[in-house]
Amino acid sequence: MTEQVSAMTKEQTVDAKEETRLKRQRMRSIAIALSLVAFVMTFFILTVVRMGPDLFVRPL
Amino acid sequence: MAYLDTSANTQSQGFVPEDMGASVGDFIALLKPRVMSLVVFTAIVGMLLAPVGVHPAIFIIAIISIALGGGASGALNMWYDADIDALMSRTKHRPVPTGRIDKNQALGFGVFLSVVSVTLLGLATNWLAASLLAFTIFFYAVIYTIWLKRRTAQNIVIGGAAGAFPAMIGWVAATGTISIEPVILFLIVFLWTPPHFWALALYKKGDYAAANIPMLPNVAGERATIIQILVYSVLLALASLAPVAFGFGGMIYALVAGALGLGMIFLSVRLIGTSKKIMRLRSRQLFSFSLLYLFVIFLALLLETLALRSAIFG
Repeated sequence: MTEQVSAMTKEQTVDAKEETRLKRQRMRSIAIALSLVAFVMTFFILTVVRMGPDLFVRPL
Repeated sequence: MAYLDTSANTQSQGFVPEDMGASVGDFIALLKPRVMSLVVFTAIVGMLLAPVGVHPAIFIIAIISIALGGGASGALNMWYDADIDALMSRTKHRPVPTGRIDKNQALGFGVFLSVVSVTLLGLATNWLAASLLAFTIFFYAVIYTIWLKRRTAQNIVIGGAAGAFPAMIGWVAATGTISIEPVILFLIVFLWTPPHFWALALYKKGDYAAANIPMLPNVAGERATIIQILVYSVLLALASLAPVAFGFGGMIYALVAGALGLGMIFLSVRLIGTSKKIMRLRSRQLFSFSLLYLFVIFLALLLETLALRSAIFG
């Protein structure tokens, strides 16, 4: 009986660790995605500000 | 970037085995957020004091770049110092010594952020400011961390230059040139660094001894350190009045800088001739006061300048 409880606790600990690992991996992925979006937006804004409104003035 | 990072203590809750991977918070800790906050603050002051208007978007991007550069320095510092960080109570819970982040990951992260921050600042403002930022990162990571820190008791005197550059970078980012004003801002932070760090080294002497870092109290003794603290505090008090002498600090700033300079000198003198226990307590007070000192005199200089500009230009 004690052995069964001990095995179950061990399994639960492994599950909890795996869950934490996956959660952290997911959060890292989200952080990388957000950083990339911010990076692209920064360069877009920078280009518009540096080149001025003339950037959008062109013949269609 | 040579400011003290005390954030590591707050990271200490819950040692996490490395097989669970690093959290986003671990990567943020790698950037030394508290050091970064002071870097950002001095850079903002440097940029706003400059007599040149900057587009708000350029201003924000420049400050982000300088912050990222500061963070890169922190990551490179943690990469190289992982062995000694593990030995000191203040730093042993950092992500690298605990194994939450691999050393190579910290190195890669630091190098990547260095390249991004310098490139971004160069494109957003000018390449003189970007070069200064690149030099600052190099100075902190190579000259201070790799070369001086473990070799000489004057490590933080020379290394302090790295922490003094952000104010100058802010000014140069706005104006594109180096003039006397940013040099004075640099000098204030440069002279502020030794008393700030030696006050810490006095009450954390055991930590530095355990890590075999030749901080002044461990090498030259406490008395010699206190004398050095006093000398630098006097020099700092005098340097902080230079903005008044050079015409970019007014009477309000003069009063604030004068009063706080006297405070630094008073707290330094109080370290002389006391028992070890009282000296440790007072060095902690000096350390806390020095943080307040830098913040308040920079803020006073900034607010006075902005108020004056608003009165003149409406």
